[in-house]
Amino acid sequence: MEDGALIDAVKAGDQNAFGLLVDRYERRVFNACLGFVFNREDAQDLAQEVFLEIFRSIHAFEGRSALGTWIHRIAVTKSLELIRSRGRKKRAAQLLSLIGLQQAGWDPRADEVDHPGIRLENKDRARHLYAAIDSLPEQQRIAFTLSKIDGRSYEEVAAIMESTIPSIESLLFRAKKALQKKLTHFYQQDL
Amino acid sequence: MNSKMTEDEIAAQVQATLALAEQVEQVEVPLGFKDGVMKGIEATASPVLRPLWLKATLAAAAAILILAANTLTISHFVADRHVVAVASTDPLDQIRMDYSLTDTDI
Repeated sequence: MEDGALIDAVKAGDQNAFGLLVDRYERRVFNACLGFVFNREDAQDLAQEVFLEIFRSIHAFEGRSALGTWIHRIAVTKSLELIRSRGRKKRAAQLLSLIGLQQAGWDPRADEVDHPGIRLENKDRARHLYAAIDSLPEQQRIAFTLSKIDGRSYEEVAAIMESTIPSIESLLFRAKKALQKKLTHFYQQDL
Repeated sequence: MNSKMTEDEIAAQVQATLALAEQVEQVEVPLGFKDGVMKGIEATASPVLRPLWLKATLAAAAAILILAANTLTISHFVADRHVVAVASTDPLDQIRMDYSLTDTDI
C-alpha cells in the first residue's frame, strides 16, 4: 500500500492500516529518538509516544511534506521535549544542591548513555560525544544529530527542519567547530 | 592540561570522537514494540476512530442540555419574582424579592 492510501485508511479509522504504518516506520522513529537521547529505554518510550501522536494528529496531516518527513519531525519534537524537560530538572537540581537542598524527581542516571548502536569499546567516547552534543544550541544539535548520527541526507534534514540546504550546511559547520572545541576541553581536563 | 596526553593525542581523540557520530549503527526495534503501540492506541480516545456522527450528536445533546438548563433557571427566577410582586401582601415578600430568597431560605 502506498503512503497516500495508507494515510487515507488510517484517517478513516482502519486500525490494521495503522499497524502497517507502525511496521513501516517503527525502525526509523526508534533510531531517530535514539540518536537524540542515546538511551534505549528512553528511545522506546519516546517512539511509543510518537506513534500515539501520529494517531491523534493524522487527521491534520495535509500531505505538504512526505509522510516519513512529517513522522520524523514528530520524533524530533518529542525527543527535544524530553531533553528540555530533563535540562530544566537538572538545572533546578544543581541550583538547589548549591543551597543544600535536593529536588525530588531528578534522577542523575537520566544522563546515562546506553546506545545499542555503539560498540562496547566506544562507550566512553560515546559519553564524551553525547555530553558535547548536549551542550550545542538546539538548531545545531538537531542538524548534527539528524545528519551524522541518524545518517539523513542534507535534503532530508532540510525537509525535516523546514529549512534550506545552505542553512543546514552552515549549522553543521558551526556544530562541528563547537564540538571540536568542547571535546578538546574535555580531553584536556581528562574527563 | 592532562600531562598524560600531548596536543597531538588530544587532537586525535577529538577526531576519533567526532568520527564516532558517523559510526553509530541503526538498530532493530525492541521486541513487542508494535504490540505496545497498538495497546496504547486502543486505550486512547481516538478522534479518528470515533465516528463523526457520534461526536456531532454528543455535542448537540450537550448544547441542548445547557441551553435548557439556563432557560429553566432564568424563567423560574423571573416567574418567582413576578408572582411575589403582583399577588402577595406578606411583608416578608419584600425581603424575598430583595434577596431572591425562597421560603426554604427564610
